[in-house]
Amino acid sequence: MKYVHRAGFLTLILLICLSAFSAETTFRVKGESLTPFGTRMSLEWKVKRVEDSYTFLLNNREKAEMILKAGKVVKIRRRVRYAGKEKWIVLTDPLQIRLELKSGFYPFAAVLNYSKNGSRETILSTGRFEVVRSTVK
Amino acid sequence: MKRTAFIILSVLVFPALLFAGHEEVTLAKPWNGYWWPMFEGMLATGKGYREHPSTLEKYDARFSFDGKATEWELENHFRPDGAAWNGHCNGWAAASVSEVEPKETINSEGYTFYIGDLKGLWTMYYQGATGPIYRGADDGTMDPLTFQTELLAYLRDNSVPLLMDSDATEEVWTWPIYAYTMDWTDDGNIRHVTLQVLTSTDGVSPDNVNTDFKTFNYTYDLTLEAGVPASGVWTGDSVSYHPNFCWYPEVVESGNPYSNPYVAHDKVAQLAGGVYNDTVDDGKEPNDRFEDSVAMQGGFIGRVLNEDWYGFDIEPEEKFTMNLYCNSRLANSTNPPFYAEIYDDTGIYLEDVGFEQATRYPNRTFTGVDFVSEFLKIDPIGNHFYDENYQFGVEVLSHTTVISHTIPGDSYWDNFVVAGFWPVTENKAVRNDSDYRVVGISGEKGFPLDSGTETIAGFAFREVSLTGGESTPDWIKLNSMTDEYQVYSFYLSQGEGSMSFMSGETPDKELILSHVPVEVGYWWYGLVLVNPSRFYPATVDATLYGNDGAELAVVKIQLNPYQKRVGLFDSFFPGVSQQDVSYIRFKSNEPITASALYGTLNHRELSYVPAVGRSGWIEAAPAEQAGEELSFFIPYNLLGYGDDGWNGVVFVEPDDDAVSATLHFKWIMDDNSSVTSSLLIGMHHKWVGVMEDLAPAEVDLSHLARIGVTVRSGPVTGFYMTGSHSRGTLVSFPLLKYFDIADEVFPVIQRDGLETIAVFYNQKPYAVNELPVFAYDSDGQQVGTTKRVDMNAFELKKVNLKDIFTAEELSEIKSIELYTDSFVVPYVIYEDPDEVYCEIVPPTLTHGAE
Repeated sequence: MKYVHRAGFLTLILLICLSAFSAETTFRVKGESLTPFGTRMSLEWKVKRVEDSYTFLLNNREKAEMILKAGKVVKIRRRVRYAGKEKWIVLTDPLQIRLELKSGFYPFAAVLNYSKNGSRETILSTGRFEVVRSTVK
Repeated sequence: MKRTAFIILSVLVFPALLFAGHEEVTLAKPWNGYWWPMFEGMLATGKGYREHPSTLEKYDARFSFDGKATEWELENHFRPDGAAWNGHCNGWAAASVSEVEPKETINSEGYTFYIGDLKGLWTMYYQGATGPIYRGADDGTMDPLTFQTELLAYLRDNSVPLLMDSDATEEVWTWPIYAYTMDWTDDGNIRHVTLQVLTSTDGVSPDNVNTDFKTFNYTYDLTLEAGVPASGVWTGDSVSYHPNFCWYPEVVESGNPYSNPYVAHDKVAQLAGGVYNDTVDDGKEPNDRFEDSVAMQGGFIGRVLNEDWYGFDIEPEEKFTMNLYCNSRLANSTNPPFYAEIYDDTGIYLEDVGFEQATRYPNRTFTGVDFVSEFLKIDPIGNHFYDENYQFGVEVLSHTTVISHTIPGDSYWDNFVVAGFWPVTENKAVRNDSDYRVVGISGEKGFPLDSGTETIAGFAFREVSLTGGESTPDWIKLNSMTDEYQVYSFYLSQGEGSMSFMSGETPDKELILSHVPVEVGYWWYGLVLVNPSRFYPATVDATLYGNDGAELAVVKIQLNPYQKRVGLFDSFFPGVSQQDVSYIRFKSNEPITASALYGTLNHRELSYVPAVGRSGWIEAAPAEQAGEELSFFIPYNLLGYGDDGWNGVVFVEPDDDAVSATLHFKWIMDDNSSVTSSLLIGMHHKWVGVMEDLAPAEVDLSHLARIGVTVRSGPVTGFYMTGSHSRGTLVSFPLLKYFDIADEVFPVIQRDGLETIAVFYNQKPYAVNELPVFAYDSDGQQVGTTKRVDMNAFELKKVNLKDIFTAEELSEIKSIELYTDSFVVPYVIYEDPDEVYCEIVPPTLTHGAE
């Protein structure tokens, strides 16, 4: 019984640590995105993770958000400019999300892979991304 | 604005259940525009739109970019010979969905921007836009399920248009989809779909604001799994014609290679948000009266609100056209858009500036007989709306040769200039005569250096006046309506024992000065920059490269029309250590000349090295010629000084687009044996040293005859240097490109005890016989008979003119013509037998056959 309590206590400590570990994480992702000209363009993304929400920043400007539930992407938001104003495009349809992950401009798939299995590099048909550094706050 | 109708009709058809559906979405239509094809370069050239001042010329002037935006566009997006479909359709489509449509002409600080100007600027900004790109399942062209899914995601679910490339070939045709109509019927697990999409169009004229649109029709089948589309195939005509990919512009990353880097979002937004003001000043000048006239400057953009007065000079033997461009000309096809009149320097009316029906510009060609100052008055036509922009365009049609540096007579150096011309017309006939005038420039103003027009017939060099009765000018130029002139300016320091020369330079917009020497106690190093245009200011970016190939600094240098800047390295580049600089690249919006002067503080030595334009770069030899020595060669030991002489060389790889330059050397000895070696020069790196450092160990320099070089990758530029340890001689020589036959004319100098020695250097391993030497007087008439020279293999032969012509003949000779064979280098040495100095004039290799 004593050992059970000790194991439970250690588990609790570990859970607290893991919780703190995963509460807010910042990734740096190097990407080569395909352009409409068929060439690639180097971009560097900063990705902030809070719980299951990943915010994508380019040049310190928030551009997109990816939300996971049970390891699956359930929502993607992207900030676009339309008719002189900023507007969020919101995708929740699974097929739309699947195509968005594949579109390869944002490093959604790279970050998803990294969060799932630690794979640092994701190569898509339209882009190549590499998680070059992750830091824990 | 979204209108969604979602109608599903269910019809029971015996025996199967057939479902049919209909869906349509319409958003606000993105604005129509123009695709600005690259073969026209319209945004920079104005051709086909409103001509000059073009969209970017006005943008440059408004934001003081010194023509940089226009220049970038011309260099990167003007492809007269490019593919006909190349254009800005992607930039227009991205701009049309991202920004509000410009619908009015605006005026900003006197610069008028029409609707097409504003749409063009937005298009240019978004030309480098990128974002998510949706392709087919197999990463090829778009499959119908992806296309439909994205249409629904953007238009139906988010009320945002979607861009598509409509052509599955390499051509890109981008259209913003703002509406679709979809009809379908289900047949078992197959859904037959017909889809119509509407797009905005880039096929309207730039100033148009209209409701035109394009229609695209597609058909396809979707395979359903549990009632949900799982895959799809195109059907009917759509099998061969369907969208290639779709995308949305989300980022215009700074530094992307497709957007004009000078066209910024905030600046275009500032213009697009402006209003039209017809009372703002008519330019930057208070020149409303003859007494208040200002100098006419090419490229200047003003407004015709009231009278404007400009003064300008016309030089003798000069011809130039003056165009008065105006954007509003389109509405005035048979009359000039404003009065333009010429007045003399007392304010008396002379004539109107002609109006050319073909171009519909006021236009005038001026031909100079003597120095004249005239004045131009621009005057609005009464009761008419001409407060738009006009612009001066000046094109010089005559020939100009520049000597960019002179030395006043009271210095250590005696400066004298000789000029001659190559008397061959464009159709290769021998010209009988050629007229020229020599003009001195002081304080950015020209004045005559001679008493009148000189006429030369045939091959001849003549000494030209350097003062014209006034003080020595800052620099000099030769004007000629008909011919290019070969001009040499010699510098002689008899008392100190040194001689040098400068030859006429070819102005260029990009120049490489391939060597900046390290500072040594008894040497000085200076630069000379000249803007040879009287009408256009030049803005020069001098990029200083370090020994590691990195950019150390970019220094901006402004040159007014006709301005010369001369000084030591420090005066041009304060704060930059000369020790750290390897070489310099000058890039200018207008052609300039740039050159370096090297000298010793004791005046014993002076040498001049001109910067080289791209035409002087040596490109890589074709692969099939690799192994041959066809790029250039270095004539070793040109002076024949033996142990007293030294030889050095400079190589630079100056090209941003090349990774490196690879040089393969063939060291040919005087017994015709050879040794090979290689040299790799990284991008923006330099190699400099004496020949002992460059040669492989097995090369015995005392028996070296020629160094043949093949450029395997490149390009490369540089020069060859030679001199003697005991004489006041430092000569720089261009890298001599391979030539077949050389035909060269050199001046013969008979002053200050100088003797002219013709030199032939046979670098071939066999004898060459009967090379001709022709001599001419000051009128180009041949003097004496043609002399012949025989040469042994690898022989360096010096022929003193006094040994082959009589004293009487010699007194008349002003020039000699040397005609040689391949690898026989003709040049001339001037030396005084009583002095230690001498000077070499190398061949130009501009005549004969390569």
